Amino acid sequence: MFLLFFIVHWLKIMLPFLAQMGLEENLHETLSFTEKILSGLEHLQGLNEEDIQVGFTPKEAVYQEDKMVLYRFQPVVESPLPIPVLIVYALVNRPYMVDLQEGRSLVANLLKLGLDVYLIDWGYPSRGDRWLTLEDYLSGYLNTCVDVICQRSQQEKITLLGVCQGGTFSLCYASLFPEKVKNLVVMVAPVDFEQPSTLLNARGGCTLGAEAVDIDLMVDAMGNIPGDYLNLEFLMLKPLQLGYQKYLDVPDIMEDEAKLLNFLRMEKWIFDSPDQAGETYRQFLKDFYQQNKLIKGEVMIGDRRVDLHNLTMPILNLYAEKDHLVAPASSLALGDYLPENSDYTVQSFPVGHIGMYVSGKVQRDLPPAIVHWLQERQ
Amino acid sequence: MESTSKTWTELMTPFSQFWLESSSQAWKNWFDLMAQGGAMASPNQTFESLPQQFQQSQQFYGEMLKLSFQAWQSIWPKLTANGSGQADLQGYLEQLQTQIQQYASGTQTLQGDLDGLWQYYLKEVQKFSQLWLSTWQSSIAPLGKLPTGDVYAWLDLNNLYGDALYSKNLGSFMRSPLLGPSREMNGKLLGAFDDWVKLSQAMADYQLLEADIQYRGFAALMEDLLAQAKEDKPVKTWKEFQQRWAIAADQVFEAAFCEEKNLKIRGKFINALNRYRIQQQSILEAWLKTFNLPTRSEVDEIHQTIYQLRKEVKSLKKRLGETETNPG
Repeated sequence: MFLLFFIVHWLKIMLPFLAQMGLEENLHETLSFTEKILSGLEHLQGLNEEDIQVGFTPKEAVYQEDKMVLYRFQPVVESPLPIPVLIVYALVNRPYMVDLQEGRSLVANLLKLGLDVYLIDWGYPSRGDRWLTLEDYLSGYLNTCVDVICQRSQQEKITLLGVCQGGTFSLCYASLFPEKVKNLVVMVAPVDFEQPSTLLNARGGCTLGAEAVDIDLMVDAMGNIPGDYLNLEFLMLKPLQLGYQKYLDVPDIMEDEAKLLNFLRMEKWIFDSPDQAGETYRQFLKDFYQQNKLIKGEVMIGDRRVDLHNLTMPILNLYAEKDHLVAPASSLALGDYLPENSDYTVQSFPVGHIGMYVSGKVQRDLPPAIVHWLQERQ
Repeated sequence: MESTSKTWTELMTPFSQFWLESSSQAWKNWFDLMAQGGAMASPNQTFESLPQQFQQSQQFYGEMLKLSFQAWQSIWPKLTANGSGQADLQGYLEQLQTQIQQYASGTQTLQGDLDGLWQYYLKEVQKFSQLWLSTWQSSIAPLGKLPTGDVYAWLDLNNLYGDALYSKNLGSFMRSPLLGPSREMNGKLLGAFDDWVKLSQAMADYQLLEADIQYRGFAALMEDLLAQAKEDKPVKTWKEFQQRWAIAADQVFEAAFCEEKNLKIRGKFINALNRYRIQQQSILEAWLKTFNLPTRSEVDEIHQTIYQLRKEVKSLKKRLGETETNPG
């Protein structure tokens, strides 16, 4: 429905342009353009929310606690690697990004290469979850999931694959429970939050603290932090490119239903943002973004301190070279805080943050890089 | 060339006007989103509502894009004809900035007029007040239908008593907002008004900053277009134009908001918004209490208790499980 509005509006705006540039004289181009729009509108009219399917790889829920669900994806090879992999996604946005659609699925590629893959879905926090803390998420839900997987797979340790904020969580967890983590893979994970030239960090208060945004005040005012507020914050990092420019290319893909659905799936993911549990948001923004406590060894999860020197397991750090959300420098800082002689590998990809999940080239190179690295450390 | 100059002049007013409107609209949407945030119950609602908000913003940006393109089309022939494009551009930008400054001074004047502000504030909160006021009025209306059939005598007597014994001495004293049964509500209303004034000021500052950034973004775009033209690669299509505009403007936006002075202006605005929201909730809670309805604080308290109990149950279950597994 939105796209229909958009197209009509787009035509309203753009027709004067086309007229001005003399395109009305170019009958062929104008007709071709009109055909695209009309054909696209037909596709749009036939689509509804159910058509925008995401998460196509078969999976089963193996554990559920409150709103959190632990899924196991159906293995596709006869004998997967014995150590299972648990994907820990961020609380911001939904985890189906790692399994968006056929041909754009990190999960599907990892399965094909012989991994046994689990995924945590944190769910949509409601007002009743306003008091959930980082301790509940890490020492509670995440720790229980690790225990469940260990029990199911008859292993003492598993591999964690932490994505974005989930990567930061995985670092904290592995520091608190190193005995349960065989290998640690972090992907576009922020580590050093003092990045004044990265807009997300600057707006989060990495230099000014409460003067940039008073998190206590915000949580007190709102309880849970609305997902729509976070969406807007992310879009305001590149307001014109993300809020306007990308839609101008839509008419070019509208006549191709498959491409249109790809676009809509990404739209669905972008705007499918759960609210953030108030107390968790308070601690994450204050301790990580504003006071950069992770690299200082000052983060407290409950009464336990996160010390990156506890990360004695092999670590693979994957980052995106053009990431505007998590600066490469932020991820790369991890190497400076690990114990000496760590088994630490870094690999980068020439894409942005989202490109790490959906770029065809990255999906060709990234899963084999992870699996190859893990195979050497089973 | 004649017709080009005419178009150029005609473009000035609507373009800058729309610039300001787009900024205001964008922030109105921001407010709406903040207000609606808590009400977003399902992911589907979230998915649908935000694009709608953006559709509105895009409408404004679209108009701005159109006018920018027209402005560029006016500059381009001048540049190629006599090389005066740079001067024209400068003049155009100066006019635009003047208009933005005029808008700024107008807003600041409003800030200084407390009476006007109070009136405006009351108008803003009228809908909210109406909720309890009409209920209250309807509840006291039956009092007028006294058994005597004529309430006016009673009212006169009441007024006499009020004027003679109350208003002239104790009444004026009791009308102090810091005394009497309405003390708490008066305090909350005054506090909300105070925070609303601060929010208005912070918002005006922020809008000025936004306008300045938009102006600088446009200037960067024009510089980029001129540079392209000098290299004999003039931008001729709307698509390339908008792409260059989006990139140039976003770069200016990003650089501007990484500067501490601008971050402080934005922070002041967001913090003021949250302070005002807390004040509003406080007033609302006072009224909810009056009508014996549950307040957000009470619901939060219940949620917190449930959360703590849930944790306790989980912990007990875990210990029970461990005991059952290892009875010794």
